[in-house]
Amino acid sequence: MTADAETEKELRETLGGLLRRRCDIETVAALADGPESWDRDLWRELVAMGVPGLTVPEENGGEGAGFSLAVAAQEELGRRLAPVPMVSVVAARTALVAAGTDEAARLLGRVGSEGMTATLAVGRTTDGWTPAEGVLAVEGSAGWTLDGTVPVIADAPCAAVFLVAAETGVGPALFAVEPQDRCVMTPVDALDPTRPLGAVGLTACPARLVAGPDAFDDVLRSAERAALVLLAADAVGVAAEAMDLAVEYARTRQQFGRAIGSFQAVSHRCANMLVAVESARALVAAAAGALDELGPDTDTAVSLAAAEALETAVVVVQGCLQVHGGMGFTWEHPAHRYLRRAKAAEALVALPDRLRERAATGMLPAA
Amino acid sequence: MPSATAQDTGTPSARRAHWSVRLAEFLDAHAGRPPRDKTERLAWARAFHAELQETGLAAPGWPTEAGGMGLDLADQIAYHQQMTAVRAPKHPCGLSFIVAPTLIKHGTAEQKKRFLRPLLRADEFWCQGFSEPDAGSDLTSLTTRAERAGDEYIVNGQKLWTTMAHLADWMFALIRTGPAGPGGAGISYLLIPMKSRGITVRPLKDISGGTHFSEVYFDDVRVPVENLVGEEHGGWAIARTSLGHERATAFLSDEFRFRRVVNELHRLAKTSGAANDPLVRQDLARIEASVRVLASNSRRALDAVLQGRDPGPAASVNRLVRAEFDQRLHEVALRVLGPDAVLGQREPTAPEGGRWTYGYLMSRSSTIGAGTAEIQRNTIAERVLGLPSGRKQA
Ligand SMILES: Cc1cc2nc3c(=O)[nH]c(=O)nc-3n(C[C@H](O)[C@H](O)[C@H](O)COP(=O)(O)OP(=O)(O)OC[C@H]3O[C@@H](n4cnc5c(N)ncnc54)[C@H](O)[C@@H]3O)c2cc1C
Repeated sequence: MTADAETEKELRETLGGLLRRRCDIETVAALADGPESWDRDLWRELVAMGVPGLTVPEENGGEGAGFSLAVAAQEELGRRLAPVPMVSVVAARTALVAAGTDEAARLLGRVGSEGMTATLAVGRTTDGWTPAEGVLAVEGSAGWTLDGTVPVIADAPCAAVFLVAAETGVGPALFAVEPQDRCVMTPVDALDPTRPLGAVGLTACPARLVAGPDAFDDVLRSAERAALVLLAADAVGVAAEAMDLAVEYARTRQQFGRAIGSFQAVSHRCANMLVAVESARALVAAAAGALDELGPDTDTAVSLAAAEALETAVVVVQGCLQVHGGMGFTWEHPAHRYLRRAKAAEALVALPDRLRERAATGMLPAA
Repeated sequence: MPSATAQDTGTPSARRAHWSVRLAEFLDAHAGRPPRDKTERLAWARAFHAELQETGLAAPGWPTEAGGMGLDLADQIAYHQQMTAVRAPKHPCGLSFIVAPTLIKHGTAEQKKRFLRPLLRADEFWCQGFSEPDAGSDLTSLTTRAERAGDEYIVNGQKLWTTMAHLADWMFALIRTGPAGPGGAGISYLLIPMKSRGITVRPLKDISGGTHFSEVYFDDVRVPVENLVGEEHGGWAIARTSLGHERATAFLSDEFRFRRVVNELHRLAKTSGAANDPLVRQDLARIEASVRVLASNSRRALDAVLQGRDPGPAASVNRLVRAEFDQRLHEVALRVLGPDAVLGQREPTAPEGGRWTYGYLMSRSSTIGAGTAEIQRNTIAERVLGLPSGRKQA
C-alpha cells in the first residue's frame, strides 16, 4: 500500500468509527425532523480532527492534505448523511485561499483556529454560481455596505460568516458579512433537511472586501469546483450506503419462497449499483487529484465527476427504494432521507446535464 | 338529414348530446375552486359526487342496472374529457372503483343493492386489504385467515399498506379460508366493515410525511357470511378477473389527467425559461411521446373490453408505461425547476406551492403500489410473450 492509500484508509476508519458512534440514522432523523438543523457537537469533533481543513494549505491554517483525502472524508460523511456544513465550509475556505487578500487571510485564521463556519451567498443557476442577483455593494467613508437579498444559501443556518458575491458597479466582488440586525438570516424549507437552507436579507450591512472584481471570477470558479467535487464525493457515499441497504434487503427479504435477490430483476439492479458507484468513485478520485494538481483538464475532470456522481446517487437511491417495495416508501425507512440528500445535491450547484455540456464544451470547443 | 329533436334521443349521437348537455349544466352549477382546507375539500368532493349520482350522471361506463350511465366508448371518452377540462373533483375514494366492477360481476343482488349506491355517492369509502407483511408481490401466500362459525367468519391476522384504511367504512379483503395451493387456492373475497370490533388501524407515515396507508390488525373479527363475494375459496380468481376491466377503464380518466399535467409542465418550463434549454427540450419531447402512447393504448384496451375481448398486451403494456411515465414526468419536472429543486414541499416560495417536489416523492410508489414494475415485467414476459416463469424452477 502506498503512503497515500495508507493515510486514506486510516482517515476512513477513524472518521467512519466516529460517525458510527455519533451519527447513526436515528440521530440524523431526530435532527432532520426537529427544530435544530445541524449537529454542532459533531462539527466540533470534526474540527478537532482537522477534517474541514484537509484541503487548506498549512500556511493558511489547514492540514495541507489536499482534495484527495478530503473526498474520502466527505464520502464517509455522505454515507451517514452527516448534518454538518462541510461542503460549504470547504468551498468558502477555497475561495479565501484563492482570494489571497489580507482580509481573506484574517478570515482563514478564524475559520482554522476557531472552527468558524462560513458559506457562500451567491446567485444560483442551472449552470453554476454567479454573483447574487440584485445584491449591491457601495463603498462609503466607513467602508463597504451591502443591500439586497440572497434567497437560497446552502448551510446558511449554520454559518457564522457569509461570503457574498455582490455587484460593485465596476464588476462583481466577494464580501464577508456576519449575521446581525443588518444581515438577517431566515430559514428556508429544504427538500433535504440534512443540508439546511436559508435566505439572507442585507440592509446597508457593513461588509469587508475579500476579493475585488479582478480576482472575482477565479475565486468564484475555485470555490465552485471545490463545492462540486465535495458534493460529488458526498453523493458517492450516499449511493454506497443505499446500495448496501438494498443488497442487505435483497439477501434477506423472502417472496415466492426465496430471497428476492435471487430474482435477476433485483440482483442485476444491485449489480448495476455497484458498477455505478465504483465508476463514480473513480471519477471523483480523479477530479480530486486534478484539483490538487491544477491543469488544463481540471475543469473537465470536475464536471464529469460531479455529473456522474450526482446522477448515480439519485439512480442508486431510487433503486434502493424500489428493492424495498412498500417498506422503502415509508417515513420510518431511511431510504427517503438518502433520496432527499441525493436529489437536492443535483440542484445545489449545477445540474448534471449542464455539467456534461460544460465538459463537452471543454473537450470539443466550438469551431 | 333529420334535425336533432327531443324525439331523437334514441340515436347514439343524440343521446350523447343529451347527457353531455346535462353534464355541462351540472358542472356549470357546481363550478368553483376547491376549498383550501383538507377536511373541507373532502366534504366538498363528497357532496359533488353525491349530487352527481342523484342527477344520474355518475359511472359513465357501468351498466344502467348497476346505477351507471351505460355509455359506449366514444361517449365515455367524451365524458372524461368534459370532467377533466373543468377540473371536476375526482371521486375521493379511487379504491372504490376496484371493488365496484367485482361487485357488479360477482356480487349477489343484495350486495349490489346495498353497496353500489353509497359507493358512487362517496357516502362510504373502501379500502383494499390484500397485502400483508410477508405477502406483497407473492400475494397468494397471504395468511390472514377466516374460520367459519355458524353464519359468521372469524378473521385473524394482519394487513399492511392499506391505503385509506383510517378513513374507510369497508374493506374488500383477500382472506385465507383454506389451505394454500396453486392458483391462489383457499383464498376468499370478503367485505369487512371497518368499524367491526377487533379491528385496529395503525396509520403509517409515508415518504412525504403524510398519512395515506396503515397497518390493519384483526383480532377475532366477526364478519357475516353474506359478506362473502363469489364462492368460498374462489376469491383469487375474482380479484384477478375484475382487474383487467378495472385497469382499462381507469386508464381513460388518467389519460386526460396526464395530458393536463404535461400541459402544466410545459407552462412551468416556459415560465422558468427551461423550455429554451435544448437538453430540457429533449426531455419534454420524450414525455410528450409517452403521453401519446398512453392515450392510444388506453383507447385500444378499452375498445377491446367494450367488445367483450381481453384487453390483451395493451393493458399490461400500458400499466407499466403509465407507472414509469409518472416517475419520469416528475423527474423532468424537478429538472425544469432547476436550482429551485432544492426547496422543500412546504417552502412558501417554492414554485407552484411545492407540488412538483411532493409529486416527485409520491411518484416513487408508482412502480410499487399497484404491483411492482418487476412483477409487471414478469407478467408481460410470461403471459403476453409466453416465456417460462423463473419463479417455478426452484
Ligand atoms: C403507496 C402504496 C399504497 C399501497 N396501497 C395498498 C392497498 O391499498 N392495499 C394493498 O393490499 N396493498 C397496498 N400496497 C402494497 C403493494 O401492493 C405492495 O407494496 C406491492 O405488492 C409489493 O409488495 P412488497 O411491498 O411486499 O414488496 P416485495 O414483494 O417484498 O418486493 C420487494 C422487491 O422485490 C421485487 N420482487 C419480488 N418478487 C419478485 C419476482 N418474482 N421477480 C422480480 N422481482 C421481484 C419487487 O419488485 C420489489 O422490488 C401499497 C403500496 C404502496 C407503496
